[in-house]
Amino acid sequence: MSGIVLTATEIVRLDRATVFESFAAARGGWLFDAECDRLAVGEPISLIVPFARGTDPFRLYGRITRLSFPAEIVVEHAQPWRGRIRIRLSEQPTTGTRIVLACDIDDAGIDWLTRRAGLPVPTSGGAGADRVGLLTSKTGAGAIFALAAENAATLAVEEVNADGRRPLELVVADDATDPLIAGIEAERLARAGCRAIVASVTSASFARVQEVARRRGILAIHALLNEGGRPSSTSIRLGERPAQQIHAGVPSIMRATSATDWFVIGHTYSWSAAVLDLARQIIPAAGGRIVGEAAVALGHSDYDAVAERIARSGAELVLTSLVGQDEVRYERAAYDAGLRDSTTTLSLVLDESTLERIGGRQSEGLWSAMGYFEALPTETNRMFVHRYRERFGRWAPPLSTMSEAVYSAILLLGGALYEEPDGSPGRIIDALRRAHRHTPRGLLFFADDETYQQEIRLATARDKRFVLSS
Amino acid sequence: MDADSVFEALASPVRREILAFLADNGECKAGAIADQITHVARTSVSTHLRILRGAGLIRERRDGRQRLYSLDREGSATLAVGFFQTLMANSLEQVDERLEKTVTSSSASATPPLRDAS
Repeated sequence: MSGIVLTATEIVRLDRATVFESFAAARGGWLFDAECDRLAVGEPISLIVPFARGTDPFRLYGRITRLSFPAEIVVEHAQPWRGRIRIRLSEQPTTGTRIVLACDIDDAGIDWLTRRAGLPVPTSGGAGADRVGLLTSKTGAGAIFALAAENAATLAVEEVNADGRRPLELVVADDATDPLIAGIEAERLARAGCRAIVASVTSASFARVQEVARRRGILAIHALLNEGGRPSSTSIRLGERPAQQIHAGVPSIMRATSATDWFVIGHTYSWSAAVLDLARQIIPAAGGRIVGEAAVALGHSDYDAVAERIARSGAELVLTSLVGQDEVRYERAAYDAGLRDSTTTLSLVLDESTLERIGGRQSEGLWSAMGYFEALPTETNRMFVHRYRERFGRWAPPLSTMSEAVYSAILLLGGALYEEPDGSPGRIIDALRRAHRHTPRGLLFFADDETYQQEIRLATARDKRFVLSS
Repeated sequence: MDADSVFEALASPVRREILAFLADNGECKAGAIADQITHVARTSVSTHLRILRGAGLIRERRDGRQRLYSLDREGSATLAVGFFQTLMANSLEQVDERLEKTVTSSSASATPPLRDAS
């Protein structure tokens, strides 16, 4: 990995042990407000960097990978770039502790920081390969569920290229979970010569990508759960539909708990609003009733108040379509409010990364309904997970339905581009629709109603992992 | 380069347009840039190019009588990375104050024991 190492040094008054133990805390430690539940190797951690005036702070998402009390702490992070933070603490006689901080930033990270600072970065290369854009949320509320998307895309491109047929080149962009930025970055990917953009972003962002794809005559593929939409000659949507998830989860949970009263909570944007509409039909049809609803903007901060409302409503069941950092904040608030004892929750965007960051105690017993879980016990999936770990190491973020969808989308796209090398987006979409492919989540094929057919599995969270229902 | 001259350079929409054009097209002749930025006079474009060079955001290369311009990728990267390094240093400068608050607020609660591990 090329790039640079930045260092900073400071002498502080307190002793090494105190400095070490205070490094990270649930509500913010001394380096960039480092957040983690406990100082332990493997523990997920995030650091909040107040990068520039006029922009939101961004989070570095990673894991603690080494602890050597009281002298050394190492964090390896996956987003918004793959890097490493090393802290060395040494005793200073009579004065306290010397802290040496070293941050590794690779070339992709330097480019990302440069763009974040509002400065241009040249678009390079591109000869001899089909460029495929990956638009993902490296920062913002959605970053948590997109942590492994870039790794998955990289792996897929390498596997397509190893096939020796029609090479692909990956160009990555960050929508910062913001539709405005999604549009700008989609334009940049189009100008960089991408024939297709695989988007692991919210539906609100994907709507902007679709506009760009239409205008530029390229293909937009939504590789994330979504509410579907009108058929188009320039876009196609993979990913679970909320109706599939709700139909799979609601009756099962009601049977398992013998409860009927639901509280439905979500966001105000399109996909989540669609979830609410569907819940209003599906829950009563399944013999349940909705006793309360709440819809909040992405990035909402006061989930304690929401948890209180749920407690007062008397609901025994909760359906949440909150996403990413919002889902983490809500579930932790729900746990603090004692809702784990009184309610059972079906969370529609509860993937492995989100689960880890909610925390072990806080997430115990949460239900999830997805087309893919990293723990899926099939041979195809075991080999996929093995290849992923071999390539990216034990500390890489876990796979999830979001990242597997990106992986499968790129493999499908590689096949379609091989069939239709000079094809228009419409012809590539036709090739995608004809494909029947065994992916890590199982057989993926396109049904008549513009939905990719896939099996939806149910799982519950136990000790920060998913246990699949049989 | 200094941050103020960079911000000054970026404050102009025309200069931002020039930078975006160079980002997409690599090294370009002055004339090609002027052909692209048609809503200001060619002499204005020259002035903007000079300001961008002064801020360290673009490079000029002479090829015979031609002047060719390209993004100074290192210039931009140096600034962005410099921001980050400043933030690292600022974060450490505040450690004493933060730790004094953290130690005070956590003195009543037990912190879990730590083990060496990798």
